[in-house]
Formats: sequence, C-alpha cells, structure tokens
Amino acid sequence: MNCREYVEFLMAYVNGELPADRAAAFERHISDCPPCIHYLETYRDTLELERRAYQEEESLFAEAPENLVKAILAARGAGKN
Amino acid sequence: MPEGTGSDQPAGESLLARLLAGEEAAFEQMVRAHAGRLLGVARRYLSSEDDARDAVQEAFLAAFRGLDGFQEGARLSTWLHRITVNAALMKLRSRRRRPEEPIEDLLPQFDDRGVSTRFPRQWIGHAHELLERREIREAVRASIDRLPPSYRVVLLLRDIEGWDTHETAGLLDLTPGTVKVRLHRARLALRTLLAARFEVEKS
Repeated sequence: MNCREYVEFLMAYVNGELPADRAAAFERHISDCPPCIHYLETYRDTLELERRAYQEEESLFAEAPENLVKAILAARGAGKN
Repeated sequence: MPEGTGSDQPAGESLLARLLAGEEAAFEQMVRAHAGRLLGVARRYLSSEDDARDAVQEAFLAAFRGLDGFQEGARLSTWLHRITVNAALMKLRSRRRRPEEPIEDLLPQFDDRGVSTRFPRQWIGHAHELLERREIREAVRASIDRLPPSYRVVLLLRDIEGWDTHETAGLLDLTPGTVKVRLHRARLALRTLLAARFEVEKS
C-alpha cells in the first residue's frame, strides 16, 4: 500500500469498515511511513475539531432576535388572510 | 438523529394541542423558544444573514402547515431542526448559480509512485487542547465555510447533524456512494485548511 491508497482508505479505516486484510495492509503502511502517522493523527484531530466547533454556537444563539420573531409572526398573520 | 438543545421537553401535549387548535400564543411560544437556535443552524448552510433568517421563517411556516404530520413522541425541537435544515438546503439550491471552486486543490497530492509530495508537520496542539480556545473554534467554523458548497453540505449533515449516509443521500438526492466520496473529500480538504493554520513552523 502506498500513501495514495492509504489516504483513500483512511475514512473506512477510522470507521472500522476495512476488511481485515486491508486493515492489516493499512497498519503495515503506517509502521513504515511517519508522515502518514502524522496524517492519521491530524485527520482524527480534524474530526474532533469539526464536531465540537458548533457546540458553543447552540448556546450563543439560544435567544431569538426580537425582529426575527416579529417577522415570523407577521408572515404567519399574512399567510392566514 | 440530531438532538436539539434548549426547550427540549417532549413536544408537550399542551403546547401541541394548543398549536393544533390554532392558538396564536402557542405559535409565538414555539417561535420564541426555538428561533434563535434554528437561526444558528441555518447560518451553517447559508452565508447570507438575510437568507438564514428567511430559511428560519420559512421553516416555521412550513412547520405550522405540517403540524398534523408531527408524530407524537417526537421532540418538537428535533422536528423543527430537520425542517430548518430542509428550508436552508432549498434556499442554498436557489442561490447556487456560479460553478463552485474545485476541491482538488485542497486534497493531498502524490507523485507517480503514490508517495505523498508534502511532508505533513505536527500541529501546534491536539484537538482537545485547541478546542479550549474560542478563536480556534471560530476558525474551524470559518474553515468549514470555505469548503465548496456541495461538499460542505455533506460534511454538515453527516458529521455535525449526525445523519446517516442513506438519510443524507435521500435529502440531497444523491447516491449513498456519492455521499461517502464527498464526505471523504470534504474531511481531507478541511484537514488541509486546518493544517495551514495549525502546523508548527518549519524549523
């Protein structure tokens, strides 16, 4: 397995979806290729960063802007007539 | 399924019954409880603030029209979340006029032998350390915003909303295979964007 194939199988490997022989080839490649170890580590960091980057946002916007609430209520009133 | 936060009581027979009865105050209560959070959701998909607000407004009107279809036992917040994502996606489709930037420039490059042509360097910290800094969380969101829209949408639905491949494929009218390929490329491209910011300087 070369670096290109390694990257191709990265998502399946991280998801635990690679068949055993492919997973073994994947792991052999990492043991020989330090750049690809870094790549795997930073790929995992990327997943953690993206998944948690929006958490604070949910509480930041918990309160509805008054003008948006008014616009929605007005649109609903207009739609009923 | 995504789990919303805030006002996350079960849809509450009382509020639902009042909504179904067409009680004006119940509609306002629903809007006040959820519009802020849903605006945050719409902003993930739509860069224009006006478009994000329009999507939330359309979502509430659609929700009100579709109240009969609301399934008992479901959470109102989850149901509204899904309707908002749909409204945002529709808005995004109507806005997508220009061809998007190709994602290839953000994917890893290899030589003829399939060997990486760029040695990835370590990052200034691991994710759990980086996430403690607010400006970094903002930078991650800004990097996701830079992904080409057809890839960004798949990344948001799969990784942020937590929808599965088949749900995402159905919503975007894509094959499951295409969803997998786009998610894979979107994550690689995001890694490239984050690496540009987080890799340690060359010594």
